[in-house]
Amino acid sequence: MHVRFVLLLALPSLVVAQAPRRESGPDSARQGPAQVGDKVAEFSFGPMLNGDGRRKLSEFRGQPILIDFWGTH
Amino acid sequence: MPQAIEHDLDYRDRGLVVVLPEVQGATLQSLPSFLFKVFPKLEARVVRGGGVPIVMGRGIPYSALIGVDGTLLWAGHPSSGGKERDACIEAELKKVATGWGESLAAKKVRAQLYGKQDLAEAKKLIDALPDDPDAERQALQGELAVAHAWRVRAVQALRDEARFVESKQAAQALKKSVAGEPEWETEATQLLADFDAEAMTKELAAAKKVDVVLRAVRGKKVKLDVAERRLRAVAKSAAGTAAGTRAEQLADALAAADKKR
Repeated sequence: MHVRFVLLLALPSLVVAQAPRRESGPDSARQGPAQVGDKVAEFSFGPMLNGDGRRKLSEFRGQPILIDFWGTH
Repeated sequence: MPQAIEHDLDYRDRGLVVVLPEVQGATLQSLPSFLFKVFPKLEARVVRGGGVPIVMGRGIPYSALIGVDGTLLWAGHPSSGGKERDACIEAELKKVATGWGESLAAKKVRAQLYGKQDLAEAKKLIDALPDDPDAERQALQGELAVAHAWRVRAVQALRDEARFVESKQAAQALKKSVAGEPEWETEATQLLADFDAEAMTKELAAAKKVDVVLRAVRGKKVKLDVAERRLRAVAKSAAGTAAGTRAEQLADALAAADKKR
């Protein structure tokens, strides 16, 4: 029981340790969430109010985007 | 959120896009009444759900700035790093106006494409570029194609949401941006001509009335119950039109917002 508990606790760190190493350099679009200085991988915003039909990041190229995550609760 | 709304109002004319993802499970149907009640000034894009592939903090509120070329420039709590973030925004808005890139040619093209929004001039500049080993010309052609495609789609997307005034404005802006490029100009002229049809004239007339009420709500120049009544009147007089249906839906949202007070 104790051994199983210790293994469960250790599992997340093992997963992190096994995660592929990220390449550095500002020009490479990378796997996983972008850090400050990284190019953000292509994605689409969800259903939108007040938009103009653009959902993909690439369609906003040429304009800076300020994203502010919030909640109604 | 309040800061982002102010940033939207302050910087949108210079090219800043503000996107507000709601990440606590609200629906697009429930959001308008909440927004009318809590953030009546809001005109920025509101999105349902997160899914933005950037490093996240421990919760909300959380804010991030993505630059003109898709680089994550800043991320953190909205109330932290204000000066640093605003300096980044200013620097990016300068890039919008003057263009950016490793070569002077790329900078010139982007200044036309994004700063002046002159797609025809950007195309001429790109066409005059030599084929280069760094594929700069190809990359710029790709950017131009994306910029043209979304502008064309925006006319229909706005129409689909019964936002006919904005749709017509998008068509006018498209026509202006492609003036001098015959093939694109023909397409833009046709898109704009569609607004002269009789059915579209009715839609536009109703949509203008809806926009007047929405502007009054955003400027807090009218009480929500009064705005609701005005929208119901628009819906009644424009029954059978898409703009009339939108007026009814917005009136419902205002009624729900007023009840929550």
